[in-house]
This record gives sequence, C-alpha cells and structure tokens, in this order.
Amino acid sequence: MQKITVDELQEGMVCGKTIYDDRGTLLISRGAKITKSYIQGLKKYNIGLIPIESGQLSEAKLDSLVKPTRQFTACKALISDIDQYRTVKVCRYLDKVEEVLYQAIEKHYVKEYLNSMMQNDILYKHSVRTAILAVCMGIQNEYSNSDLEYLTIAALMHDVGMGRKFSEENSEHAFVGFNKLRQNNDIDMIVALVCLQHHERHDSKGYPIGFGKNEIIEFARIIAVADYYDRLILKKCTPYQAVFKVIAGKGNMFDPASISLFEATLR
Amino acid sequence: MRILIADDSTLCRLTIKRFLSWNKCYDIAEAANGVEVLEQHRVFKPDLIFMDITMPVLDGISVLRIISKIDKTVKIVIVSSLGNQRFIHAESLKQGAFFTLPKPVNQDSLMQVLDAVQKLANVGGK
Repeated sequence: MQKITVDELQEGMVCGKTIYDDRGTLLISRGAKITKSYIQGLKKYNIGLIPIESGQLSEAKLDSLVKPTRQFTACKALISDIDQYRTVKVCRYLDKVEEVLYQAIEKHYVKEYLNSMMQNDILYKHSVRTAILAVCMGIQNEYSNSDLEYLTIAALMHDVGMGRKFSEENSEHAFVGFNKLRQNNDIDMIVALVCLQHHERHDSKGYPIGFGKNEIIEFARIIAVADYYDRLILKKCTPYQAVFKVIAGKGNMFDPASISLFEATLR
Repeated sequence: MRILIADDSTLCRLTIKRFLSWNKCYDIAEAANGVEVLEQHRVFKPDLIFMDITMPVLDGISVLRIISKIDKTVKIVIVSSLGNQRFIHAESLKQGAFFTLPKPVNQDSLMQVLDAVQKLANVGGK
C-alpha cells in the first residue's frame, strides 16, 4: 500500500484504507474503486494523502472490516486535532475526556443537536473542541463524573442559539439558545444557563444581560474561557497568541480561578 | 394561585409556608437555590414567587433579571435580610420585582402583598 496525493489519483485505483472526514463521516471505504466523482469529493474535503492498494481485496476481507461508529471517529479525529494546538495537554486526560464525551453523546437531545449541526462544519468542530477543552479544565478542577457530564453537554450545546450560521456578530444567540433549551423539559437548567451566560464577563460588560462576577455560574465561567480560546483559533490566531490573549483577559473578561484552570491544562 | 417560595434556609421557607397555609387555594412549591427557581419556573409555572437574595449557585437578583426578561406575567417579591433595605428595594424594582419585604417576614405585610397580587390578577382577568 502506498500513499499518493489527490492530484496523482487516477480512475480505477483501489482505496487501501477507509477514509473519513473530520467528523467521522465515511467518504470512501477500503477496497472501493476510485471514480471521477470520488476524486472531486476528496478534493472538496481537503484530504491530503490517499492510501492506495495495488491488488484487489476479497469480499470476505471487506466484511471483516471493523467500522467504528460515526460519532466515535468524529471525536477521535477532533481530539487529535486539538492536540495539534501544541499548547493543550489533552493526551494527559485522553481516556477521561473520551469517556465523558461518549457519555454525553448518549443523551438523545445531544445526539439530535449534533446531527442537526452536521451541515455546519465550523460550528460542529467549534462545539466539540470547546467541550474537550472545558472537560480538561473540569478534570483539573477535580469535578465528579456527573458534573463533568453536565459540563460537556453544556459546552456541546452552548451555541445552540446560532442556528445554522456561525457568526461572531450574532449577539442574540445566547438568549435565543437559552430560551430554546429552557423550553425542553429533558434538558437540565444548568445547560440552559451556561448557554445564557457564556458571553458574560467578569467585569459585567458582557452580553446579553450584563451579569457580574458573582452572578455567573462556575460552568459558564469555564466554558467562556474554552469558547474564547477556540474562537481565537478559528480567527487564525496561532495557539501561542491565543493563549496569551486568553490569559490577558484575567480579571476583566474572565475570573482568575478559571484562568488558573486554563493555565494548568497547558503544556 | 400557584406560589413558589425560594430560600436556601428551610426555616425561612417554612415560616412563609405556614403563613400561607391557612388558604387552601394556594398551590405551593419550594426551591433552595437559583437554578432550582428557574427549574420550578419551567415546570411549576408559578404566578407569584417569594425569593431570597442570597442563595447558592445563582443569587436572587440574577434570577430576577432572567425571569423578568422571559416572563412578564409572574410577580416576584424579593425577601431579604441584607442591610441596606432602601437600596435593595430600589435595585429590585429596577430589575423588575413586584415588591420587596424585609426579613423576618410578618404575616400582615405578606397578606398585603397577596391582596395586591390578587387584585391585579382580577383586573387583568376582566
């Protein structure tokens, strides 16, 4: 098996390994013959190197392939993605993060929400990465398992009010999201509250209500830090610039305790 | 009328509950912290809330600010033992409270508040 770039791909070649996108959606399964539409698709999804098999695979071999569930691979891909930030020590908490994340995804409303977001790549990745970072901070704070689970659900759903479009200027989304989550009796009120308060600031200059330092719940304070860090990364800041900017917000944007937790998760 | 009593002290909740218990028309629920108040607001749908300011997780004023934004019909009475009553009264009314009562609550003032809420409800009904 050899790896070649998309440009070198030719019709009729056989794929050597199952290829998934960042969210774990199966693009091409192992053993499939490459066609023109596959090549176009791979270019669209920005897949770097394609493993190519020279010989043909038997059907029995194809059946024995273990196909991991979509969400499982999605998280795996994103965990390795966040590890590439080279600033956050996800590896140290990997087992715990995975466990908590899968536990949270089991909840039907989280599953529904994540599935509805499948169309919005940026928002999906942003939510999962925020959740991973928030869980790392939660572990640092020695939260219990159930607390970590709520923290994860809250982090995954914190931008529920964005709808289908992820934009920075949408200042209404916190309140819209809160109202949406509040009306669903299955969802814990803490999750809705995090959604409301994740843009509030330590110095009361946040939105949508302008809560002060003691009025913001602890989960929202932690998720605010993780959310801000990932938004900086989305704005093409380097990880070091992002870390610097987050720490600069100590005492005005974020409360000092959450910043200490963030610092503790750094390498 | 559905009434929610929110206070982290069991004794305070019990006191208000006892004052209200003479009237069988009142449906009463309790909450011990700010998040529970929001939870009860969703499930129990109270018409009137008696709420303390200092509560764990989320304080009374924050809850007041949230509820007054999402629900214009519920009346919230702030019950507080904090020092500066005049300031609390002004701040609470500004944030959308219906009235404020100092602690310890006495039966007369409680009845006056209930009377006022009842009258307002009647006017609204007509």
